[in-house]
Amino acid sequence: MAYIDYYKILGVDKSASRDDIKKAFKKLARKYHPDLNPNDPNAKQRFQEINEANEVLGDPEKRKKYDQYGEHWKHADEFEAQKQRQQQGGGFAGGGQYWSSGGGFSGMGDEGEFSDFFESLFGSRRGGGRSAGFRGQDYNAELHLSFHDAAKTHKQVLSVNGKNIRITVPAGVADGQTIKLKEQGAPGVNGGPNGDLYITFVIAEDPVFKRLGNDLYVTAPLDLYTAILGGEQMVDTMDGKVKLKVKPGTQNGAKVRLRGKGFPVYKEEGKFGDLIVTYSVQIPTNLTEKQKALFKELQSLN
Amino acid sequence: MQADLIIVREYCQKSHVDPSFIISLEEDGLIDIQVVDGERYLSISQLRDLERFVHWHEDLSVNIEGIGVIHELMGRMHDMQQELDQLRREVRVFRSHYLNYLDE
Repeated sequence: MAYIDYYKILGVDKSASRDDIKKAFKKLARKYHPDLNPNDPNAKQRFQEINEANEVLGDPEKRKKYDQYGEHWKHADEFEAQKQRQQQGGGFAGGGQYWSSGGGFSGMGDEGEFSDFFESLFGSRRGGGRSAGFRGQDYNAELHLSFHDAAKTHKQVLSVNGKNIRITVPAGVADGQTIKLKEQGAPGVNGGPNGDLYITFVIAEDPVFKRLGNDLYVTAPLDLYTAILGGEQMVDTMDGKVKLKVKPGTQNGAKVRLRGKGFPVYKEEGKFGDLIVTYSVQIPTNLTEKQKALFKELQSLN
Repeated sequence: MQADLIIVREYCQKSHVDPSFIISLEEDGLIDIQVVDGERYLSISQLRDLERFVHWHEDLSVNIEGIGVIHELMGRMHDMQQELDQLRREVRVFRSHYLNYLDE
């Protein structure tokens, strides 16, 4: 258990007045309040640290005790016992007797647990002026899928807070898409409903296909001669290669749309986006003397 | 009464929330209350928002007007974040699809 520098957490120095501490605390609380930082997983912890720091530094008695022992807090109880013996019971007793948490922060779902350091110095934290809570806390989870897994409906088992949850992932989920599983979050308090579970899909990129909505984009190399004279070209699709007819005079960057060869449409079974193929015409290099001569001949004809 | 409704009075008792706070939220259009036979009800689907409002009020001393503003701005921020994520994905596709020629 490490010493916690509450002054550092609030960004104030040791001589800070009560007003300075209050101001610093309010500023940081606004900045790191978890409800205002839904995408920052560290905000909750930071907020609890700030809250704890304020609980100590905002209370003159706790601050006095904290300042008195500083980094030697581990010996606080020994000092206290000694002091009590010397003063025959006078002075203040250590350990959680003066609780007046008043308007401070408390629960953030798991009801504002303070650090072991805090509890060692001040005793277990109980009480608080905040509402008791009713609805259970929401859980957030990320589900990482490969590009190809996201293209098929399949079952997954998620482990959230020690509980296994089976879900069916419909084909066509999007990267960053969040689904809500009702009442699969933390249990409610005082007969309140459970929280919800929010699952955000994180879909890996594919080296071949790029996805935009339901459409897929692929680049297909095309040799110069087929581009000029026309012919056939094999192109990758999600379900294997297909042979495409190439028109004579196909330009570099020309696009072909293959209807229904894209990504499955979310929750619309049998429906797919399109595949857009972009030809990348390959210019031959390292020409032989004969090839060079033929190209020059072609050039002279134009 | 429907299962997805809870009695405001009971909610306030169990959560230690001041009923006048809930009434003020309703008056400002931040939550909807249904009154049946003189009893006020709240739908469970609104609890998530309501508890956020309670947190803002208790943790940050935000008043009802402030809660309305934060709620509105949070909604806009959420929409902007969605748009930003979508644009990022599009830029990624276009970069890899069109600009890869430059690297070769």
